Amino acid sequence: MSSRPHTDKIEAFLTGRMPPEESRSFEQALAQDEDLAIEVEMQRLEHDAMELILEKDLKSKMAKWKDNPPPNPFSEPPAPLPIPQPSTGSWKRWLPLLGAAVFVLGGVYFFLWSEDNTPVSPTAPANAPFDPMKEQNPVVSNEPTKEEQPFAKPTAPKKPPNSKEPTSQKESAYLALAFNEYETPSFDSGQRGSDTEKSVVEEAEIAFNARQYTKTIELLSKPEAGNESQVRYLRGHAYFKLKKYQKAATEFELVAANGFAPNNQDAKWYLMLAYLAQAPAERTNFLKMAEEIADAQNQHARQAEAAKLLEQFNQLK
Amino acid sequence: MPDTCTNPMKYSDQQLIEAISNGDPRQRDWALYQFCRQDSLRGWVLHYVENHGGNVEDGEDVFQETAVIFDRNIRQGRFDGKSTLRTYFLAISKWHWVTYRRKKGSVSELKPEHYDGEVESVDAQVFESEKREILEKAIAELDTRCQELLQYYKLDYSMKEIKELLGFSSPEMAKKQAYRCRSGLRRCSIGIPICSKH
Repeated sequence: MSSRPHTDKIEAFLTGRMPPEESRSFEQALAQDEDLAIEVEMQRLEHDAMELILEKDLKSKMAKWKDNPPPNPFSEPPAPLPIPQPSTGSWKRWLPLLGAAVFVLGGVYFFLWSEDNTPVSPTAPANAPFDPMKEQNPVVSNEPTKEEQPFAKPTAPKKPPNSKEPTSQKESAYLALAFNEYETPSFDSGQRGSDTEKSVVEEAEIAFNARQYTKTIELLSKPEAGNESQVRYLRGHAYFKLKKYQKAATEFELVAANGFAPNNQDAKWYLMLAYLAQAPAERTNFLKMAEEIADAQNQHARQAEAAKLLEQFNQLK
Repeated sequence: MPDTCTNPMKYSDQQLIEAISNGDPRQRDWALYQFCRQDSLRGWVLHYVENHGGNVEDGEDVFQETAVIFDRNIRQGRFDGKSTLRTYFLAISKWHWVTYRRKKGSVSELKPEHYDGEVESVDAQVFESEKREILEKAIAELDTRCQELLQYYKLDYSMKEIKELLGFSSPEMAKKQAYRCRSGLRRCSIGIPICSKH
């Protein structure tokens, strides 16, 4: 930043954060110092451009709001699930619900641990089924790199005092369902070529396989990363693993929209899971995508799985 | 801000201003959506434009542009609170329709009762239009990640928050990247070739 000695001061001046007295003397300095005046105008130009980025983004969002309203960040948690009353004499009818609740809570607990704390076992299959026993023995060896740890429990950027944490039972249930269906893909670039020959995407795939999701995203942000759908597909998975479902959905959406992308079908499946993880806010999108995949006419490889998932989803309602 | 999906608007102006300007894009989107979805608001703008020489399409354009200006002014603290947000929005739309018509070359039909405020000179409008074109080209040169970063920056996110949102290893890295993106934007704006490369 050394090439711009007055950046912070100019920033304060342009954004109205400079105290009035200082602002007046700064204006006087501007009138006398041509270089400073040019620098201010350049920074003003940058601000105008950034404002334009926000403007374009807002317009594109507004165009979508008609059919797809933004999620309500202030939503109230749904009413808690009913608790069976033994005195009614019909407690057996609650058993399936209780079982589902235990399953879901187990899933959530496991989910919170599994992201960064479970070790990479060379013998365990990459897509091991959900094992509720793991929650009792969270293994802490092979911990992720320090770089990953800040994301173990991501914090929302800014919240009003009355905002609610998205941990209602129903949200947790959807999240657990999404997690149970999510299979971490394993990329094979780690096995091919020497270190010197690896492309950025291959390096990113290696980082992903090593559970270094932040590093994966960083690598994929390089301009030379390569094929866009390949980059977005991988980045979608990295965001998903970091529990940034909205971002994951954005990445998968673009691959899913590209009928020529090699991962198009998988992207649709994972896009559906990213929506599910954000339910109930993204319920409509989830249902739309799940129904599309489950539709036999579309010949999706995961048609049966989508149909089953829809059933499970409807049971949670 | 309680959950309400009813129409007309049930949020107070203060709640809306807080949600739009506190830097959280989710709250901003929701507040703008809630505010702009009022049928009476959109209907008023469309009706006004149609009654003043425009058609439905013009009305929709004016409504969208008004929403953009409204959002920007609220975020930048330019709304002085002397009227309701609704009145403010409608005043912007009237002002915008005047400038919109000027750009379309319908200047002669303008009458004083068509607008309340000062209108930009034609020169200023041409300058703004050219500047906008240049900036749009400059933005297009940036990669989507840079554009996203600059959005957060402009929304006053801290470097720590940007780091978390975009997966940087540290706030310093986020700051460095923000500087690079801004520099790229500057170079592109002044026409330096291959400007977005760091």
